[in-house]
Amino acid sequence: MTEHVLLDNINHQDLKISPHFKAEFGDKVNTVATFITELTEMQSVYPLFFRKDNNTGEYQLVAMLGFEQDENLFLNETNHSWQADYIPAMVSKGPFLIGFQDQSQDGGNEQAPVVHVDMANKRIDNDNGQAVFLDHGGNSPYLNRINALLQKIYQGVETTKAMLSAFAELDLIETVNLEITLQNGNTHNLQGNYTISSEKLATLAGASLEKLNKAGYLKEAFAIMGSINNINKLILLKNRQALNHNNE
Amino acid sequence: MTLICKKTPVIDGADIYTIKATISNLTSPVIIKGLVKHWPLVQAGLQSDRTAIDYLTAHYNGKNAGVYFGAADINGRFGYNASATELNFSINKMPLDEMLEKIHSTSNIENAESLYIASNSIDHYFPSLRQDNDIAFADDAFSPLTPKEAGLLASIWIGNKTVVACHYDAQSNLACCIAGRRRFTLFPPDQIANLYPGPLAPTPGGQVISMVDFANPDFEKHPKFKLALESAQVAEMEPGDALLLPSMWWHQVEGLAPFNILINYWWNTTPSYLGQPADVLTHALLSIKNCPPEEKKAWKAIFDYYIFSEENEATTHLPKEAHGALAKIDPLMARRLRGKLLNKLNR
Repeated sequence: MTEHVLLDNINHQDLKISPHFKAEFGDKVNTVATFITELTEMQSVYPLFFRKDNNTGEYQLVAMLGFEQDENLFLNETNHSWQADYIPAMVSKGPFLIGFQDQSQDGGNEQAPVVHVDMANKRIDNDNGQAVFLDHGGNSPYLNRINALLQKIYQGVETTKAMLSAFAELDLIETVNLEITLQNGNTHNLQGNYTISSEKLATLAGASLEKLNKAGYLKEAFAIMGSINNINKLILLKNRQALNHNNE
Repeated sequence: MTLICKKTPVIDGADIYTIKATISNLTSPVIIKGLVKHWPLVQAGLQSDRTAIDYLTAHYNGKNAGVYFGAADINGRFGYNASATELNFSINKMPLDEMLEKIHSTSNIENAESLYIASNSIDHYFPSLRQDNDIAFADDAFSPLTPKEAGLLASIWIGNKTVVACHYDAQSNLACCIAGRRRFTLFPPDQIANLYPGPLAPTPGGQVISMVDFANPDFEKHPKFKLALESAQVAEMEPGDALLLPSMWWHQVEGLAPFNILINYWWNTTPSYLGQPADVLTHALLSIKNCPPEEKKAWKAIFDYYIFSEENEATTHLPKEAHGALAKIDPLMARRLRGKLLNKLNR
């Protein structure tokens, strides 16, 4: 159930949003969509992969958060925090989303992006959350941050799509099978993930390479490839979790 | 309107050079007879409405636009319901060629519904129209601003018999009657109180309108409108005529024929880095309107001194280095003031 409405400082003057992360908010997931507009921050924390949309066959850029279904190794369920230096925009944007408004009558865009809020979202916590608006109706620093995040997502959707189709066009995407063995001997065989083929990238012909570089995707390709190493962080977190579990 | 005797002065046979001179010292309205009569669209309209519609349709790019639909009983006057809380017409999105046919189909109907394609950017909907139907403004026509800095915008207005209620615009205007007949009823800016302005919101087209029905004025309800009429003037225009209208003048615009086209140019007289005076009004409503009377009087004196006085009144007694925001505002100072306002306002 969602209930998307245009955010405004009259109807939502008392709106407050929980600063916490919880399973009941939908935070206990093992992947989250991400965009090249936040790649710089994401690549140093999360293993990034491509996933194929079963319906459209199109690739999507995602960050891996856990090995099992409904496992988010960054989620601390005791103090309801997200333990990472950077939280993906799709999560930290809270219950807000981009809607579109026809502003052509006022000389604006027919599809002008505006901020909507999902009033059915469980992150809304008018008693203890952080205020969206200031006392007299101005934007709170929190809302300014949300605006910036939504911008990142809005711009990222199209640019990420363009990047992925450039990778697909040059046949740079290959499937990757990950076999993970934990300290306790448990193994996880992760499938359905794709990444940039280092071999194909290394043998890319001059013209294609130049095209990729000019579009700014070459450094993104390396960043995505390199982010696989972050899987060690996930293993570490998982081992620690197993250890804590045994000690309890 | 039989009560207004004064007619807007007419310049005959003007060319682009006289316009330039007229624009640069524009203080009151003037009609330039036949300025755009040579335009192919005007010539098409003189043949028939059908020819004009076909000409327009050939340049149309198919994009949907907002169009006005008013019931026959509003008599073409786009305004308010009885309580002035809602508009008395609806705005729909549709293809303009379809709307043109709809307008054309009402030409033989007495008491037709009021149909209006209001204020649509020509470049946005009829991208090739201006190739052969445009005024070649000189680069220094809007001096000291370039046409780009002046934000020159060309719009098209098409309808059957319609009345756009009296309002003012912040931009200067060159309005060209292309087809049909137009009547502008004009009032100097100081007539605001005698025109009984309506609600600040909603408004039919973004601007506050006079609540007086000029076709049937109620002098009991609006007695001061008689005073407005004393300083009013009427500009009657036929195809090819253009009206140069200074910014801030109140104007009612009537399409009088069964099919009317108007093309107008709007431009700003100040650079875009400056703020909008209309925003100052909003801010003043928030900040000054509800002060005690004595304080309001004091603020009036302060505004008179800083804002409405002779250009140098607030600075001549100060060393130049100390003029700060009292000096002529440049883009850098505009940024400073904007930043300060944004911070102050956000609370």
